[in-house]
Amino acid sequence: MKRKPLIAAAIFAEGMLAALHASAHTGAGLRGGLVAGALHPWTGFDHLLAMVAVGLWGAFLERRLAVALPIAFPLMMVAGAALGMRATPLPPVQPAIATSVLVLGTCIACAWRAPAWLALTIVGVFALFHGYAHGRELPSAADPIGYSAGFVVATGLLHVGGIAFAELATRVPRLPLTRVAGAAIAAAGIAFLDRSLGP
Amino acid sequence: MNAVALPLVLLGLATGVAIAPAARSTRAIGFVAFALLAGIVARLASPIPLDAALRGSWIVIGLCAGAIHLPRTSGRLALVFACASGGCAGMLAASSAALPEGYVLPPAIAALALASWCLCHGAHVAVKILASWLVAIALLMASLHGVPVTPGDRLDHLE
Repeated sequence: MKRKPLIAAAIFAEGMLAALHASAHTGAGLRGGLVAGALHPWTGFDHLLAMVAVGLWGAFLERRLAVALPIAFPLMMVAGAALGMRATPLPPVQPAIATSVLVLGTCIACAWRAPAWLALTIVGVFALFHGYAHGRELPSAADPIGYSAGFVVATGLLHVGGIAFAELATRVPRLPLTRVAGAAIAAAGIAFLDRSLGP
Repeated sequence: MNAVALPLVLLGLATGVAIAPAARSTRAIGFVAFALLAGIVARLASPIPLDAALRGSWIVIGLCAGAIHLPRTSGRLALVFACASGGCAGMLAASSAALPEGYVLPPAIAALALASWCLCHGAHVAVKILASWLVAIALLMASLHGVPVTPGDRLDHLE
Protein backbone atom coordinates (compact mmCIF):
# COMPACT_ATOMS: atom_id res chain seq x y z
CA MET A 1 0.00 0.00 0.00
CA LYS A 2 2.82 2.40 0.90
CA ARG A 3 4.48 1.93 -2.46
CA LYS A 4 1.60 3.45 -4.42
CA PRO A 5 2.27 7.09 -3.47
CA LEU A 6 5.98 6.57 -4.15
CA ILE A 7 5.25 5.15 -7.60
CA ALA A 8 2.85 8.02 -8.32
CA ALA A 9 5.46 10.57 -7.22
CA ALA A 10 8.13 8.89 -9.33
CA ILE A 11 5.88 8.92 -12.41
CA PHE A 12 5.03 12.58 -11.84
CA ALA A 13 8.67 13.56 -11.35
CA GLU A 14 9.68 11.57 -14.43
CA GLY A 15 7.01 13.32 -16.44
CA MET A 16 8.32 16.70 -15.37
CA LEU A 17 11.96 15.82 -16.01
CA ALA A 18 11.18 14.29 -19.39
CA ALA A 19 10.32 17.76 -20.68
CA LEU A 20 13.60 18.24 -22.46
CA HIS A 21 12.50 21.11 -24.62
CA ALA A 22 9.72 23.65 -24.57
CA SER A 23 7.46 22.67 -27.39
CA ALA A 24 4.99 25.49 -26.96
CA HIS A 25 3.47 27.31 -29.86
CA THR A 26 5.39 25.58 -32.61
CA GLY A 27 3.19 26.87 -35.35
CA ALA A 28 4.06 30.04 -37.21
CA GLY A 29 0.39 30.76 -37.77
CA LEU A 30 -1.88 30.27 -34.80
CA ARG A 31 -5.44 29.23 -35.34
CA GLY A 32 -8.14 31.39 -33.83
CA GLY A 33 -11.26 30.41 -31.94
CA LEU A 34 -12.32 29.22 -28.52
CA VAL A 35 -10.95 25.68 -28.85
CA ALA A 36 -7.56 26.84 -30.20
CA GLY A 37 -7.28 29.33 -27.33
CA ALA A 38 -8.27 26.71 -24.77
CA LEU A 39 -5.70 24.24 -26.13
CA HIS A 40 -2.92 26.83 -26.38
CA PRO A 41 -1.69 26.76 -22.74
CA TRP A 42 -1.66 22.92 -22.79
CA THR A 43 0.70 22.72 -25.74
CA GLY A 44 3.77 24.22 -24.09
CA PHE A 45 5.40 22.80 -20.99
CA ASP A 46 6.94 26.13 -19.97
CA HIS A 47 3.59 27.91 -19.67
CA LEU A 48 1.80 24.82 -18.42
CA LEU A 49 4.24 24.16 -15.56
CA ALA A 50 4.22 27.81 -14.50
CA MET A 51 0.40 27.83 -14.32
CA VAL A 52 0.29 24.59 -12.34
CA ALA A 53 3.06 25.90 -10.06
CA VAL A 54 1.04 29.01 -9.25
CA GLY A 55 -1.84 26.79 -8.11
CA LEU A 56 0.50 24.50 -6.16
CA TRP A 57 2.24 27.40 -4.40
CA GLY A 58 -1.07 29.13 -3.68
CA ALA A 59 -2.43 26.00 -2.02
CA PHE A 60 0.83 25.62 -0.11
CA LEU A 61 0.69 29.18 1.24
CA GLU A 62 -2.03 30.51 3.48
CA ARG A 63 -5.68 29.97 2.56
CA ARG A 64 -6.41 33.45 1.23
CA LEU A 65 -3.46 33.25 -1.16
CA ALA A 66 -4.90 30.07 -2.68
CA VAL A 67 -7.67 32.40 -3.86
CA ALA A 68 -5.62 35.54 -4.46
CA LEU A 69 -2.91 34.03 -6.67
CA PRO A 70 -5.25 32.44 -9.26
CA ILE A 71 -7.20 35.73 -9.30
CA ALA A 72 -4.12 37.96 -9.63
CA PHE A 73 -2.37 35.83 -12.26
CA PRO A 74 -4.97 36.17 -15.09
CA LEU A 75 -5.38 39.90 -14.40
CA MET A 76 -1.63 40.56 -14.56
CA MET A 77 -1.43 38.27 -17.59
CA VAL A 78 -3.96 40.50 -19.33
CA ALA A 79 -1.82 43.55 -18.51
CA GLY A 80 1.15 41.74 -20.06
CA ALA A 81 -0.92 40.76 -23.11
CA ALA A 82 -1.93 44.40 -23.60
CA LEU A 83 1.76 45.38 -23.52
CA GLY A 84 2.56 42.56 -25.94
CA MET A 85 -0.15 43.59 -28.40
CA ARG A 86 1.28 47.11 -28.43
CA ALA A 87 4.80 45.70 -28.83
CA THR A 88 6.00 47.58 -25.73
CA PRO A 89 9.63 46.59 -25.16
CA LEU A 90 10.24 44.29 -22.17
CA PRO A 91 13.38 42.47 -20.99
CA PRO A 92 13.90 39.15 -22.86
CA VAL A 93 10.62 37.31 -22.42
CA GLN A 94 11.65 33.71 -22.96
CA PRO A 95 14.36 33.63 -20.23
CA ALA A 96 11.88 35.36 -17.91
CA ILE A 97 9.29 32.63 -18.55
CA ALA A 98 11.91 29.93 -17.95
CA THR A 99 12.98 31.74 -14.77
CA SER A 100 9.37 31.81 -13.61
CA VAL A 101 9.20 28.00 -13.86
CA LEU A 102 12.51 27.69 -11.98
CA VAL A 103 11.63 30.21 -9.23
CA LEU A 104 8.08 28.97 -8.63
CA GLY A 105 9.28 25.34 -8.57
CA THR A 106 12.05 26.24 -6.13
CA CYS A 107 9.62 28.13 -3.87
CA ILE A 108 7.40 25.03 -3.71
CA ALA A 109 10.31 22.59 -3.29
CA CYS A 110 11.75 24.66 -0.43
CA ALA A 111 8.29 25.02 1.12
CA TRP A 112 8.87 28.75 1.27
CA ARG A 113 5.96 30.50 2.93
CA ALA A 114 6.49 33.93 1.49
CA PRO A 115 4.61 36.91 2.88
CA ALA A 116 1.41 37.63 0.96
CA TRP A 117 2.67 40.85 -0.64
CA LEU A 118 5.87 39.19 -1.83
CA ALA A 119 4.10 36.10 -3.22
CA LEU A 120 1.66 38.34 -5.10
CA THR A 121 4.51 40.46 -6.45
CA ILE A 122 6.50 37.43 -7.65
CA VAL A 123 3.48 35.85 -9.32
CA GLY A 124 2.35 39.20 -10.75
CA VAL A 125 5.71 39.96 -12.37
CA PHE A 126 5.95 36.50 -13.92
CA ALA A 127 2.32 36.68 -15.09
CA LEU A 128 3.21 39.88 -16.92
CA PHE A 129 5.83 38.02 -18.99
CA HIS A 130 3.55 35.05 -19.69
CA GLY A 131 0.81 37.45 -20.79
CA TYR A 132 3.29 39.36 -22.95
CA ALA A 133 4.21 36.17 -24.84
CA HIS A 134 0.53 35.35 -25.36
CA GLY A 135 -0.24 38.93 -26.40
CA ARG A 136 2.46 38.84 -29.05
CA GLU A 137 0.81 35.75 -30.51
CA LEU A 138 -2.84 36.73 -30.28
CA PRO A 139 -4.26 35.85 -33.68
CA SER A 140 -5.71 38.75 -35.58
CA ALA A 141 -7.42 36.80 -38.31
CA ALA A 142 -9.90 34.45 -36.74
CA ASP A 143 -12.02 35.14 -33.67
CA PRO A 144 -9.63 36.78 -31.18
CA ILE A 145 -12.51 37.00 -28.67
CA GLY A 146 -12.99 33.24 -28.63
CA TYR A 147 -9.24 32.67 -28.55
CA SER A 148 -8.76 35.00 -25.56
CA ALA A 149 -11.70 33.51 -23.66
CA GLY A 150 -10.33 30.02 -24.31
CA PHE A 151 -6.83 30.68 -23.09
CA VAL A 152 -7.89 32.63 -19.99
CA VAL A 153 -10.22 29.78 -18.94
CA ALA A 154 -7.61 27.11 -19.72
CA THR A 155 -5.02 29.04 -17.69
CA GLY A 156 -7.44 29.23 -14.79
CA LEU A 157 -8.15 25.51 -15.03
CA LEU A 158 -4.42 24.78 -14.80
CA HIS A 159 -4.27 26.84 -11.59
CA VAL A 160 -7.24 24.91 -10.23
CA GLY A 161 -5.46 21.69 -11.23
CA GLY A 162 -2.42 22.77 -9.22
CA ILE A 163 -4.56 23.60 -6.18
CA ALA A 164 -6.40 20.26 -6.50
CA PHE A 165 -3.10 18.35 -6.73
CA ALA A 166 -1.78 20.11 -3.61
CA GLU A 167 -5.01 19.39 -1.74
CA LEU A 168 -4.91 15.71 -2.70
CA ALA A 169 -1.21 15.51 -1.88
CA THR A 170 -1.91 16.47 1.74
CA ARG A 171 -3.84 13.21 2.08
CA VAL A 172 -0.71 11.17 1.43
CA PRO A 173 1.02 10.83 4.79
CA ARG A 174 4.80 11.01 5.23
CA LEU A 175 5.43 11.95 1.59
CA PRO A 176 5.74 15.62 0.62
CA LEU A 177 4.28 15.14 -2.85
CA THR A 178 3.79 18.87 -3.40
CA ARG A 179 7.45 19.57 -2.65
CA VAL A 180 8.53 16.69 -4.90
CA ALA A 181 6.39 18.17 -7.68
CA GLY A 182 7.98 21.57 -6.99
CA ALA A 183 11.46 20.09 -7.31
CA ALA A 184 10.52 18.47 -10.61
CA ILE A 185 9.12 21.77 -11.88
CA ALA A 186 12.31 23.58 -10.83
CA ALA A 187 14.40 20.97 -12.67
CA ALA A 188 12.31 21.53 -15.79
CA GLY A 189 12.82 25.28 -15.28
CA ILE A 190 16.59 24.80 -15.40
CA ALA A 191 16.21 22.96 -18.72
CA PHE A 192 14.00 25.74 -20.11
CA LEU A 193 16.46 28.41 -18.93
CA ASP A 194 19.38 26.57 -20.49
CA ARG A 195 17.46 26.33 -23.76
CA SER A 196 16.37 29.95 -23.77
CA LEU A 197 19.88 31.24 -23.02
CA GLY A 198 21.55 28.81 -25.39
CA PRO A 199 22.84 29.70 -28.87
CA MET B 1 -24.33 36.80 -35.46
CA ASN B 2 -21.21 34.75 -34.72
CA ALA B 3 -19.30 37.91 -33.83
CA VAL B 4 -21.67 38.67 -30.95
CA ALA B 5 -22.51 35.13 -29.83
CA LEU B 6 -19.62 34.81 -27.37
CA PRO B 7 -19.96 38.35 -25.94
CA LEU B 8 -23.67 37.64 -25.37
CA VAL B 9 -22.85 34.37 -23.59
CA LEU B 10 -20.26 36.19 -21.43
CA LEU B 11 -22.81 38.92 -20.63
CA GLY B 12 -25.21 36.22 -19.47
CA LEU B 13 -22.56 34.59 -17.29
CA ALA B 14 -21.46 37.91 -15.78
CA THR B 15 -25.04 38.89 -15.00
CA GLY B 16 -25.67 35.57 -13.28
CA VAL B 17 -22.56 36.07 -11.16
CA ALA B 18 -23.43 39.72 -10.37
CA ILE B 19 -26.93 39.06 -9.04
CA ALA B 20 -26.14 35.76 -7.29
CA PRO B 21 -25.14 37.34 -3.92
CA ALA B 22 -28.44 39.28 -3.66
CA ALA B 23 -31.54 38.13 -1.79
CA ARG B 24 -33.78 35.59 -3.52
CA SER B 25 -36.48 38.13 -4.47
CA THR B 26 -33.86 40.56 -5.81
CA ARG B 27 -32.31 37.76 -7.85
CA ALA B 28 -35.68 36.98 -9.41
CA ILE B 29 -36.45 40.63 -10.16
CA GLY B 30 -32.95 41.19 -11.52
CA PHE B 31 -33.14 38.18 -13.80
CA VAL B 32 -36.57 39.18 -15.17
CA ALA B 33 -35.39 42.76 -15.70
CA PHE B 34 -32.28 41.47 -17.51
CA ALA B 35 -34.29 39.17 -19.79
CA LEU B 36 -36.99 41.75 -20.56
CA LEU B 37 -34.54 44.58 -21.25
CA ALA B 38 -32.41 42.38 -23.52
CA GLY B 39 -35.46 41.37 -25.57
CA ILE B 40 -37.08 44.82 -25.71
CA VAL B 41 -33.90 46.75 -26.55
CA ALA B 42 -32.95 44.20 -29.22
CA ARG B 43 -36.29 44.70 -30.94
CA LEU B 44 -36.87 48.42 -30.47
CA ALA B 45 -33.46 50.12 -30.37
CA SER B 46 -31.92 51.45 -33.53
CA PRO B 47 -28.66 49.62 -34.28
CA ILE B 48 -25.43 51.24 -33.18
CA PRO B 49 -21.98 50.38 -34.61
CA LEU B 50 -20.95 46.87 -33.54
CA ASP B 51 -17.59 48.10 -32.24
CA ALA B 52 -19.27 50.54 -29.83
CA ALA B 53 -21.71 47.86 -28.65
CA LEU B 54 -18.84 45.45 -28.02
CA ARG B 55 -16.87 48.10 -26.11
CA GLY B 56 -19.88 48.70 -23.85
CA SER B 57 -20.30 44.97 -23.33
CA TRP B 58 -16.73 44.47 -22.14
CA ILE B 59 -17.13 47.31 -19.64
CA VAL B 60 -20.40 45.88 -18.30
CA ILE B 61 -18.99 42.33 -18.15
CA GLY B 62 -15.95 43.59 -16.22
CA LEU B 63 -18.08 45.59 -13.77
CA CYS B 64 -20.62 42.80 -13.23
CA ALA B 65 -17.95 40.16 -12.64
CA GLY B 66 -15.78 42.47 -10.56
CA ALA B 67 -18.69 43.24 -8.22
CA ILE B 68 -18.37 39.80 -6.63
CA HIS B 69 -15.15 41.03 -4.97
CA LEU B 70 -16.98 43.85 -3.17
CA PRO B 71 -17.33 43.16 0.55
CA ARG B 72 -21.09 43.72 0.33
CA THR B 73 -23.26 43.91 -2.77
CA SER B 74 -26.52 45.75 -2.18
CA GLY B 75 -29.70 44.56 -3.86
CA ARG B 76 -30.03 47.89 -5.61
CA LEU B 77 -26.56 47.57 -7.13
CA ALA B 78 -27.37 44.04 -8.34
CA LEU B 79 -30.47 45.39 -10.06
CA VAL B 80 -28.46 48.18 -11.69
CA PHE B 81 -25.99 45.59 -13.01
CA ALA B 82 -28.83 43.38 -14.30
CA CYS B 83 -30.48 46.30 -16.11
CA ALA B 84 -27.19 47.56 -17.57
CA SER B 85 -26.31 44.07 -18.74
CA GLY B 86 -29.77 43.52 -20.26
CA GLY B 87 -29.61 46.83 -22.11
CA CYS B 88 -26.13 46.05 -23.33
CA ALA B 89 -27.15 42.58 -24.56
CA GLY B 90 -30.07 44.18 -26.40
CA MET B 91 -27.85 46.78 -28.07
CA LEU B 92 -25.35 44.11 -29.05
CA ALA B 93 -28.07 41.96 -30.58
CA ALA B 94 -29.65 44.96 -32.31
CA SER B 95 -26.32 45.92 -33.87
CA SER B 96 -26.11 42.50 -35.51
CA ALA B 97 -29.84 42.12 -36.24
CA ALA B 98 -30.24 39.06 -34.04
CA LEU B 99 -32.36 37.92 -31.10
CA PRO B 100 -30.37 37.66 -27.87
CA GLU B 101 -32.52 35.35 -25.73
CA GLY B 102 -31.03 32.07 -26.91
CA TYR B 103 -27.52 33.30 -26.18
CA VAL B 104 -27.90 35.20 -22.90
CA LEU B 105 -30.59 33.37 -20.96
CA PRO B 106 -29.15 29.80 -20.70
CA PRO B 107 -25.71 30.99 -19.45
CA ALA B 108 -27.35 33.52 -17.13
CA ILE B 109 -29.58 30.83 -15.60
CA ALA B 110 -26.67 28.39 -15.30
CA ALA B 111 -24.32 30.97 -13.75
CA LEU B 112 -27.02 32.25 -11.40
CA ALA B 113 -27.95 28.76 -10.20
CA LEU B 114 -24.35 27.59 -9.79
CA ALA B 115 -23.06 30.80 -8.20
CA SER B 116 -26.01 30.97 -5.79
CA TRP B 117 -25.44 27.36 -4.78
CA CYS B 118 -21.71 27.95 -4.29
CA LEU B 119 -22.29 31.11 -2.21
CA CYS B 120 -24.88 29.34 -0.05
CA HIS B 121 -22.53 26.41 0.57
CA GLY B 122 -19.46 28.47 1.42
CA ALA B 123 -17.67 27.97 -1.89
CA HIS B 124 -17.06 31.69 -2.45
CA VAL B 125 -13.66 30.82 -3.88
CA ALA B 126 -15.08 29.14 -6.99
CA VAL B 127 -17.33 32.12 -7.80
CA LYS B 128 -14.50 34.62 -7.24
CA ILE B 129 -12.14 32.68 -9.49
CA LEU B 130 -14.77 32.39 -12.24
CA ALA B 131 -15.48 36.12 -11.91
CA SER B 132 -11.77 36.93 -12.18
CA TRP B 133 -11.60 34.97 -15.44
CA LEU B 134 -14.52 37.00 -16.79
CA VAL B 135 -12.83 40.24 -15.72
CA ALA B 136 -9.60 39.11 -17.39
CA ILE B 137 -11.38 38.28 -20.66
CA ALA B 138 -13.26 41.60 -20.58
CA LEU B 139 -10.07 43.58 -19.93
CA LEU B 140 -8.20 41.73 -22.66
CA MET B 141 -10.93 42.31 -25.21
CA ALA B 142 -11.36 45.94 -24.20
CA SER B 143 -7.63 46.49 -24.70
CA LEU B 144 -7.81 44.66 -28.04
CA HIS B 145 -10.16 47.37 -29.34
CA GLY B 146 -7.38 49.93 -28.98
CA VAL B 147 -4.97 47.93 -31.11
CA PRO B 148 -5.39 48.46 -34.85
CA VAL B 149 -3.63 45.22 -35.80
CA THR B 150 -2.89 42.40 -33.36
CA PRO B 151 0.55 40.88 -33.78
CA GLY B 152 -0.85 37.39 -34.35
CA ASP B 153 0.39 34.95 -36.94
CA ARG B 154 3.98 35.88 -36.26
CA LEU B 155 6.67 33.40 -35.48
CA ASP B 156 6.41 31.83 -32.11
CA HIS B 157 8.31 33.25 -29.15
CA LEU B 158 10.29 30.01 -28.92
CA GLU B 159 11.21 29.86 -32.60
